[in-house]
Amino acid sequence: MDEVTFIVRLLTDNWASTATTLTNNGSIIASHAVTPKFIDVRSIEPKTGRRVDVDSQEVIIVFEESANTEYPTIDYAVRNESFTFTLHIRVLHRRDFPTITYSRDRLQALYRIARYILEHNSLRPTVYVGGGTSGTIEESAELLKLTSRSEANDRGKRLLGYKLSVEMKRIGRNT
Amino acid sequence: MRNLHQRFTELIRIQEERNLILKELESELGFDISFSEDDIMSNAIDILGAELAKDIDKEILSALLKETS
Repeated sequence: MDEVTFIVRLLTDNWASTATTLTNNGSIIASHAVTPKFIDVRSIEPKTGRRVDVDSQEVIIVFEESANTEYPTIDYAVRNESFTFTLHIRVLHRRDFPTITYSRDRLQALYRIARYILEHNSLRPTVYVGGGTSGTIEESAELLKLTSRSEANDRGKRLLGYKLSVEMKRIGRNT
Repeated sequence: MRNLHQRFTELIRIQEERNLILKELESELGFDISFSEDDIMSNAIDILGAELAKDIDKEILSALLKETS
């Protein structure tokens, strides 16, 4: 499994349970506990006829920005890999939203869910066979960290957005 | 230190290619999630900035190690 797919799977598999947890503890309101559409641009097959539901007008786009490999020991036996990703959370502001701040609150809720997943999987993030949050390990990494967040709004397209930077590390041996 | 101009041009090209794919998604999603020209530039600058910061950190660490050895 490549690293972008890994990040998308980690978010997808944990999204619903995290949304429930945050709703129950009052961090987000129930109407914002929605699952966005995750987009890995490399795997897009245009014109396949897929359409998202009218209600799910939020997307999270995942890009890999860099992948570096270092061999810090004299015999090059240890491999340290660092990956950085950008996660664009984009929410369409609809005129029929009940309040003017609804899309802003939706964006904030999606950010909180994503942050919770990243923080609670910071040490040894793992995805499991068949999805879900337990079972047979399908893929894992060592460390995962949310490093920054910046606003990325587009008034013309009525899109609100956050741009998140995420760093992941993998440590291995070449033996 | 890396060739900044070359890297920046490469980053803009990557951002533009990604944006083309995002534009194609409009028919599928029902709304346009592609980035504006300003956003493309800003995304490229952000990435270059992050890469530069890492390079500088490495060079400072390497200079300090030389100093102390």
